[in-house]
Amino acid sequence: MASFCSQPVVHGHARAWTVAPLVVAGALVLGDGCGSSTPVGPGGAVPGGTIAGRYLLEIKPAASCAAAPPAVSLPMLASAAGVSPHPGVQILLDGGDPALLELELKYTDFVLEGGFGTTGDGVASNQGTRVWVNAIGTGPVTQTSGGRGEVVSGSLRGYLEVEGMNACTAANHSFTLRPL
Amino acid sequence: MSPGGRLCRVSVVLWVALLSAGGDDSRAAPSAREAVRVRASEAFAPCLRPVLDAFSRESGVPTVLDVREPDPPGDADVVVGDDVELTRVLEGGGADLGSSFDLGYLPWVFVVPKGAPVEVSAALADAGWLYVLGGRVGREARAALGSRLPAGRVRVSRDPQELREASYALVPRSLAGSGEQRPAGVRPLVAVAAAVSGTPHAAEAARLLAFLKSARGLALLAPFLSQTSAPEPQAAAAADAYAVAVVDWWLPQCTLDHNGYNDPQQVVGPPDALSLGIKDQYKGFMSLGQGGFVTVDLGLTVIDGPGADVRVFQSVSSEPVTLYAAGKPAGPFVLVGLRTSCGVRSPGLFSNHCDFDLHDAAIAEARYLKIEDGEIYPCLKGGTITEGADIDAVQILNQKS
Repeated sequence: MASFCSQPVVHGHARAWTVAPLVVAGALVLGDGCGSSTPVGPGGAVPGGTIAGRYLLEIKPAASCAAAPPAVSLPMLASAAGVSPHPGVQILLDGGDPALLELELKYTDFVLEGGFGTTGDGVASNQGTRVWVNAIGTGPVTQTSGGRGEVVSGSLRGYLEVEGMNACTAANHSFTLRPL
Repeated sequence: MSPGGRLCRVSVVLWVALLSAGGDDSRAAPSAREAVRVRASEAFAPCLRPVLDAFSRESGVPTVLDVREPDPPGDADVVVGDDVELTRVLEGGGADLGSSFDLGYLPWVFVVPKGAPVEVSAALADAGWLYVLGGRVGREARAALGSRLPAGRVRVSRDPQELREASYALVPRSLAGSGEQRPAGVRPLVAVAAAVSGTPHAAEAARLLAFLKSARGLALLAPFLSQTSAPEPQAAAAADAYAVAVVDWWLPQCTLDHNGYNDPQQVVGPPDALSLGIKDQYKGFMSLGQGGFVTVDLGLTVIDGPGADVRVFQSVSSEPVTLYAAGKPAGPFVLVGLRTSCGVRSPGLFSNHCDFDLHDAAIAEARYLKIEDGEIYPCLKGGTITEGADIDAVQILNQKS
């Protein structure tokens, strides 16, 4: 039971990590067994959810970055990736060469955490500017009404450069990951 | 295409004539098949030209200098580049790790007009444009300086002439123009030379490498390259205390599928990594892949003492490392150093190292350290079985008595 509170569970043959509604209900009933009441995400949202399918990734440079644009966005495609030593998710650029932007993330405790990486060639954003990123993102996952997981407030620490701004290494860039 | 590449990608082939003094160029210029081809990035080309010229004159072996990033090596016989330029070539076996050695350190400088204010930010205040060398090394320099560079007035260039003619520039010293030079406070480039694996001119390449590290070669490089880097912050007398156990770790599945060195236990104990002298054959480290981590128990409490408090040993080149510290195995972990270049040479050891100071995290002590890959290179694009920072050992420099 404790694992329901600490880790997502496999969602059948879809190979997607999810916290199914049934599991969350179980956590509600057996709250003591999990050591607390049902966890609540940002804005009262239910934590967890399946990270799979098409997403929009938005990356915003830290305020300290000189000449930074407001934000850039990129279409992404997510799928489950691995179970040991911790479950993970792989999120790749949707369209073109998928590995131009690769996110390799651990998904435990209703939190996505891991590397956002481009090569030296960077990747074109929806805004038409190129983006270079080598950073670690961390973000709590909450469920949308359809049960998919999303990150509405994630932090990103590391190197980020958007065409037109200075290269910027900071611990407080930010990102969101929303289902499409 | 990198930012620098967008503006200008220069590929210059310099023929170093065997009989250049008074000789007929058409007779003197060797064919590419006969020459030893050296591939080096823009920063190192000015350093190499005199020494290649001397080598050709004195040995009778013609050389060709191909100025471009040394990864991939292409048809080169010898590559010369900074640690970050050669990481993948050396780790992936494109160049022979056993033949590699350091030629010296090349500092970054700000170039400003003569008479500009002494303080760099004041000197740059009048800059219309600040020209910065492009490519991988330039990206690292720009990232390191960040907001210290003038907002919206940075131009990235790989054209040596444009960089030399710029009134304001941030460049390796070899590309500095006629203005005044000011220390940039950026990690100096480490010039590393290596023979390309499988070169058909192995014997000539070996002769050239021997010449480069001879007293004669080093003397010719001396106007550009220093044999010592800037002094490191004084580390405490090294205690003989290393991580004793792994409490958590994670590698992406992609990394587990593609990398060859995934055992977290390799991080425990003193540094013992080795190259076995065969392509991709090492022992004694854990490769962290794309953003992977290992959390270790030091068995003792490290404290914020004089100088650096923790040393991480990382094998091959200078792949960056991020370090977090905590008092309990489950955290909370506090960021100590973000993407710290981990390539300081460790005499007598295969691994390089990087140091961390708990003071930077505003914490007095810790027992658990999380070591995270800072390279964060896309796993699916990786061409080696050692992707990510390669962690050999974690040492306590200041321990609680």
